[in-house]
Formats: sequence, C-alpha cells, structure tokens
Amino acid sequence: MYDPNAIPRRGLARLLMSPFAALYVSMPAALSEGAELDAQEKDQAEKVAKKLEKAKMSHADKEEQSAVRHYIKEVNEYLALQRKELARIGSLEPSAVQKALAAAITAKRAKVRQGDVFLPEVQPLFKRLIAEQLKGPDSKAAQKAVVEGNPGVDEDSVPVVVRVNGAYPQGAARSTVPASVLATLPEIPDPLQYLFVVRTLILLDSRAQIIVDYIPAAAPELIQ
Amino acid sequence: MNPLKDEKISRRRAALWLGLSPLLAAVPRVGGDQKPAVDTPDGGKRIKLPMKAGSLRFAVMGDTGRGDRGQYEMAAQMVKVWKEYPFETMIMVGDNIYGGDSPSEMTRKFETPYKPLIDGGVKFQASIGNHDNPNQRFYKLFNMGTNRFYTFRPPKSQNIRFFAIDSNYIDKEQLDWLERELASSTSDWKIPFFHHPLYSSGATHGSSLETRAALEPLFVKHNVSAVFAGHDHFYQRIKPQKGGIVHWVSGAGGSLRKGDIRASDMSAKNFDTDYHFMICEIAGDEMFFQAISRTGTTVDSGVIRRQGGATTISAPLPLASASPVASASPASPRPPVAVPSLTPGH
Repeated sequence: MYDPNAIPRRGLARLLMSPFAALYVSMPAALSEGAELDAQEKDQAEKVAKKLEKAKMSHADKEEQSAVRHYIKEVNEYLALQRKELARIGSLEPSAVQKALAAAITAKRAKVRQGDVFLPEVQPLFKRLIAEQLKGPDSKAAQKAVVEGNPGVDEDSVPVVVRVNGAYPQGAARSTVPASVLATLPEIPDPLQYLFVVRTLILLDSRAQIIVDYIPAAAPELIQ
Repeated sequence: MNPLKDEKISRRRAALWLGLSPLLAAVPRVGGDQKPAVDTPDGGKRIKLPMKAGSLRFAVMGDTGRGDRGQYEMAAQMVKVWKEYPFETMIMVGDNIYGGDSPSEMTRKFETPYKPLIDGGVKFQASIGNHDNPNQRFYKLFNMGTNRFYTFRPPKSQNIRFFAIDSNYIDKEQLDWLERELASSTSDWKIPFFHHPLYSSGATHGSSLETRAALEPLFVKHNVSAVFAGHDHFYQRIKPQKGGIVHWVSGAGGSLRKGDIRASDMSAKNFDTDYHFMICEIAGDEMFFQAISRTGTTVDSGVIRRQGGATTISAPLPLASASPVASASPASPRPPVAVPSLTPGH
C-alpha cells in the first residue's frame, strides 16, 4: 500500500545509511496489512452492533406465538421432571450428580422422539429466526461464532452424536451461540441451553449433559 | 527467527545488530506508537509491581487445563512468582479443564499443578470457556457459587469488583443481570473477565464481534476500566478501545499457538512464542500489570491510571524498588484468605 510518510524516512535513511538500512526502515507492508484488517474489523463490528439491535426487535407472528407457547409448555414439563430427579439424587460430587441425573432422565424419557419438545409447528420459526441472523452479508461474525468451538470443527473436540437422550460427551467443545441468535429465540430457563452441533440446533440440559431434543439443519450453510 | 517480525525483537535492537547508527535506531516504528521493550539487566525476572501496602494483588491465567508438561511448567513458574509476589486471587478466563473432568482429571489438570497456590490460600475464581463443562460451576475450588456468571469483591478491597461472564452463552438473562450489577456497583474498578476476547489479533480466532456487540456498550456505559479474556493461545495487550477500556488476551496458561498473532495496529504488545500468565496490583487509581512467561521472563508490564473517569496507560514499568519482595514471601502456607463477597448470577 502507498505510504507517503515512508518517503522522507526512506530518503533520510539513504543519505545516512546503506541501502540495506533504507530497506529496513521503510518496510510498511506488514503494518499496512494490519491497519487494513483493523479497518475491516471496525466496519464489521459496527454492522454487527446494528444487527444485534435489530435482532432484539425481532418477533413472532400470532400463529408462531401459539407454537412457541406449546413449545414452552414442553420445556416446562421437561424441567419439572429434571428438578424432581435432581431432588431425588441429592447432594453428590458434581460429576456423580451429572451421571445419576442423566441416567434417571433418559430412563424416564425412553420413549421420547425427535420433535417431541421442538414440536413440528415451532421448527419453521426456529429456522427462520436463525436464518435471519446467520444469512446475508452482515452475518459473517455470527457464522464465525457458531463455527468456533463447534464440535464438528474444533480440533480439540471429540465428536458429538446427536440423538434424543444422547450424552453431550466429555471433551466435546461448545459452539458460541451468537448473542443475536439468542436475542431472537424463545427464552428458556437455566440449565437448558441452545447449542449448535455442526448445523443442528440442540436443546441441551447442561446439568445432565444430555440432548433433550434437536432440529436438524436448523442453521444455514456456514462459512469455515 | 525473523528479527523484524512483530515485537519479538525490537526494531531498535535489530538496527543495532545490523551495525547501523543510533540515529537510525531511533527512527520510530512505522505505524506503531509503542516504545521498544526495555531489557532488564536480570533478564526481566524481577517483580515489577510496586507491592504497595493495602493493595489488591491478583493474577490471571487462561486456557490452562490440559494436564500436560506445558501447563505444569507454567504452574511451577506461577508458584515461583507467588513466593515473591503473594497474590491472593487468581482469575481464570476459561478453558479451565480440557477433555474429561472426572475427579481424577480435576486432580491432574487443576489440583496437582496449582497445589502450592491452593494450599497457600490463593482463591481461584473461574469463568467458563468453550472447552469447559458448564458443571464446573459446582466445583468448589473454582468458587463460582454454583453460578455460570457471578460477581465478587475480593477481601479487603472496597473499591474493586470483578464480573465473571459466561461468554459462551450471552442470553437475555445474563445481559439483564450484568446491566443490573454494573449499574448498582459503586466500585471504582469494575473488571469483567470471560473467555472470548472482544479484541484479538489471533489468526485462529480473533475478535469475537458478536460478543463485543453485546457486552461493550454495557462496559462503556458503566465505566469499566479493564477486561481480561483468553481463547486465543497467546498474550496480547490491546490499545485502549471504546470508553478507554484496556483489553487483554491471556490465553496461554497451558495452551500455546505459536506465531498466531497477525499484524494489527490495535495491538500494544504481543507475545506468542511461549506460555505466560499475568500478575496485577490495584492501588487506589492505579492498576499495575506484568505478564510473565514460562521461563520467568517479563514479556510486558505497565500501569493503568484512572483519572476523572478517563483511563491512561503507561508501559513498560521500571523495575520495582527491591525492598518488600523478600519480606512478603509466603514460603510457609499462609492462613486462608477471607471468603469474597459473592453475588450470584446463574
């Protein structure tokens, strides 16, 4: 990149020093590249901030709101079961609680299938809300967040097999769920969390470390 | 090694190596605002923090828990430093335990390498990274009070409050909590720490722009002065950003990604050739900091000053006066420090 400030220094150096020295003091290349990347990042950050504000205004239509209510009812039923089992297990060392809780819940939910919590009528809404944040020219940062730490990508992660009642295994990394995505999806109470495994959205019980339900291909194609 | 690359070797020294005159050596670095690192006669191994009476002394480590040789060697260096500079609190910026976290793994990846610090009463305060099981919040030695995000005020420090944030999952509940806690805090020093850096020049990860968009407005609004993060496996101090906030990436306490820092004008100091951790000291309106490598070399140091709501930074620090270092040594285990006041999140 052209750097007019380098010219006087270059000239001075040529006068005083060897050509080799002039080459040394007039090397702006790496820094120019850095400045360019910084400018790109700043520009992108401003777009992401605007996108987040817009995401907070996102809302479901009347029909979708009805689907969300049914979904939240399923979520609450799951939580009631979880709390009951947790109370029964009592006070143990954290990893022992996790193991006992997972065993108890999966036994009680043995007949549950994909779509029993993420009801079929609510899945299109989830896909729409996620796509709004992960598609389009200003979605690069959100896509990057989903890819980072995603067990399908992260070099330090073990793979995750997605199935209802399946364990989120020890050593599996967690993708960042972008704040803009979380701002739009229906709120769920702790310890339930949304998480991406590759492009699948899972509903994770982070206490029992089990997959409560999932929506396949909930996210659009992501950059890597 | 390329002597001109980044700040691994200063341009001034490189110029002198090339046999050039001091005049050339004094030509400022193109595009940079930083003075070259100052070599100390002792190889930079001395504590540079002032160790003022009544100050808060804490340390920062990130991306530690692999249970391998690198983590253990870095931990041994932390213990050496602690014997000279007895910090009371260690904040952990996530990826505390990679892989399994059974009791035996917790022993191997945490309790054994940091045993002298734990036995000596250092209080570890963890935040959760993307490689951590969220159930670490129930692990007593991480002092999270069973919450995935929380705030605490260290003992004897009326004026300082830390905010441990779960940057994996910044939902509305957490944002509302953070806004509430930052707004109600009367502390002069508000210091958030979490895993994903808002600013980073890492080629592998880099700045977390979504996280920045969610958190930075709150930090600026509520006069945060300093932010610690990890995730990228190197050391980087960022020039003051919005609100004059100084950001650090300290993600090489047990993981290292050599040569991962890309050129950037927002960086004030880089170190990506070895592991490191940080020690800090807050005294009144000043926060002193020092980053120390696995071999005990000081890789960065400086001081942040709060002046009428604004923040200024000076670096590097001169050597501290030699006085109180030896006398403060906790060679024998110290009595446990008081439990910090903890305000739960979830």
